[in-house]
Amino acid sequence: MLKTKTVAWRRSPLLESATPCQITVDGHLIAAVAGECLATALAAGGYVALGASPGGRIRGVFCMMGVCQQCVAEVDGIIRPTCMVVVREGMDVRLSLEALS
Amino acid sequence: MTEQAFDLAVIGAGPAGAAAAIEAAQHGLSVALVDEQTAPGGQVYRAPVHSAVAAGAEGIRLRDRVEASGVSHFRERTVWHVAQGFTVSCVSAAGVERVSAPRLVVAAGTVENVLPVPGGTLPGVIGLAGATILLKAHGTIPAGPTVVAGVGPLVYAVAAGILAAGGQIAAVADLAGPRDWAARLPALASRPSILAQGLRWMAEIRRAGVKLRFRHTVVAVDGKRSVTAVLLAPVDRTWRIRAGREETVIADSLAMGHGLVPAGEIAQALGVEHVFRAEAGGFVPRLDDFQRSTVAGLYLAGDGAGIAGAEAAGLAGRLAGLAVARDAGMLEERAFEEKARPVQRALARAARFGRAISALMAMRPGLLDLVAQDTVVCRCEDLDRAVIEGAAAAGAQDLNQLKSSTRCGMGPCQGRICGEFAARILARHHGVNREVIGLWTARAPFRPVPLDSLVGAFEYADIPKPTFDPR
Ligand code: FES
Repeated sequence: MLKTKTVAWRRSPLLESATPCQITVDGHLIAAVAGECLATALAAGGYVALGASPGGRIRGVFCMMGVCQQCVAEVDGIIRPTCMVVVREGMDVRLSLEALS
Repeated sequence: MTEQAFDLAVIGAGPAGAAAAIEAAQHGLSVALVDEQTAPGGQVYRAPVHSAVAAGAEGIRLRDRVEASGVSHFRERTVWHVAQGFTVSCVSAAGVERVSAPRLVVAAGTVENVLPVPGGTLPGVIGLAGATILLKAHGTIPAGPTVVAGVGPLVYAVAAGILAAGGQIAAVADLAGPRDWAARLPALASRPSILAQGLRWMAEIRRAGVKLRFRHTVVAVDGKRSVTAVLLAPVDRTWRIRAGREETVIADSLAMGHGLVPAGEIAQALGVEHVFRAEAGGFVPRLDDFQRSTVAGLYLAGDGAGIAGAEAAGLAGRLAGLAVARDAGMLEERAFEEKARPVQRALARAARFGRAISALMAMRPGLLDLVAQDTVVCRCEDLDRAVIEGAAAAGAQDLNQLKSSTRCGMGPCQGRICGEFAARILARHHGVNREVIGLWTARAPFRPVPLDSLVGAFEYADIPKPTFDPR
């Protein structure tokens, strides 16, 4: 598994105590904050590897502004840059980590 | 698909685009302001995504002014095509729509250069501009020790910002040295409040006991699945490393940035004439004294038209808005000149400051030596320097030839991330100046767009390249 044990990014205390929600990442439920950025929710949940590049290298969040596309994942069935997606309750996120394991 | 008509369309709601939209609206034009974010502000005054994150004062003011201006704000729209005349095609969660107007202001901002180093593609490495977005828009910081590196004021802004939010900075490495900063002091002193803020950041970093390394660069990043350490080394005046003095810093995040390049693709695709000005970040549109481009009805403003900083961007946007109002017959020539003159003067002053920063950040030749042959330069296609050098040796003279022979720049970022370094590698190989290498030919779609949102809304020539399939 490529999920890191520790959180990679940490939310500010105010954000941490905002409306919680749950999203699904590759079938696993993780806690997130409704209305936060999906890339942030993933990193706070320990997911930094978001998929594989065409050459099989691990890719993850890089530019945080929708340019590099290194952070893409399938969100509710559509491939989108996670740094530009706002988290909603019940969001279904699929990473493509099979190529890496 | 919906199409709405306005007197003016503005692309980009940063300080430049917002100011242009507001100014034109004040002169009675109907204005559409199209932007990718949830709220105006651009990257510099980026709005928090969640209301629990505190916003900066400038951003709040800018958003209030847009709100009160009567401008139609098309938020969370990705612009993927702009037709002459002008029709802006955008896509959002709601689908595809078009905004048309006889006049267009493009204020598209910049993209950041990030030095390709061994290990630099590992998760945990983010751009400096990205790190500021993490702080400003997302109220989030790296959880573990972080190295902040590169060049320019953002190095200090990010390090101080992470410290202020309770994070841990393992080291700060600035390519510039105290003497580089001192050389810009006269220009920087023209904006005492910004200078004071920079000095405050530096003092906070020192007070926290953080390792502060001037004239240092990141040489490599270590880690298997994510960052575990960052290798730093001192550099000389040309930013060439001084070997044998490397230092390993244990960290699990690295934020680094190596200057900004104007995002010119929309203006280029519309045929605006460009000129090369190294001190403004590279290729910039040729503009008259009122932000008019060489294409009738098309105006450009902000860092996307040449790096000059946020204050200058706001003033250039106002000037563009005034020119639009005048050209649309909503402002008499005399009144226009009276209103424009003080803005032009203020712009010249603000730009002097911005250019001093831009000059400090301008890439020096030694940096390219750090890009090893087997270091990934193009992330989308996993192409390393050796591939680019190979194409150059086989005859690729410019970016387009490089693209067609290697696919470099053909991936979903369309060369925005690697273009500057790829161009410099070609230039070095052929022993020519950067400007000889040119730019990628800009064409739509400007951003990857889900194919199903285009059905029925495009012409054959607009069919996008395949979107990123991560599998
Ligand atoms: S991190 Fe670059 S597009 Fe999301």
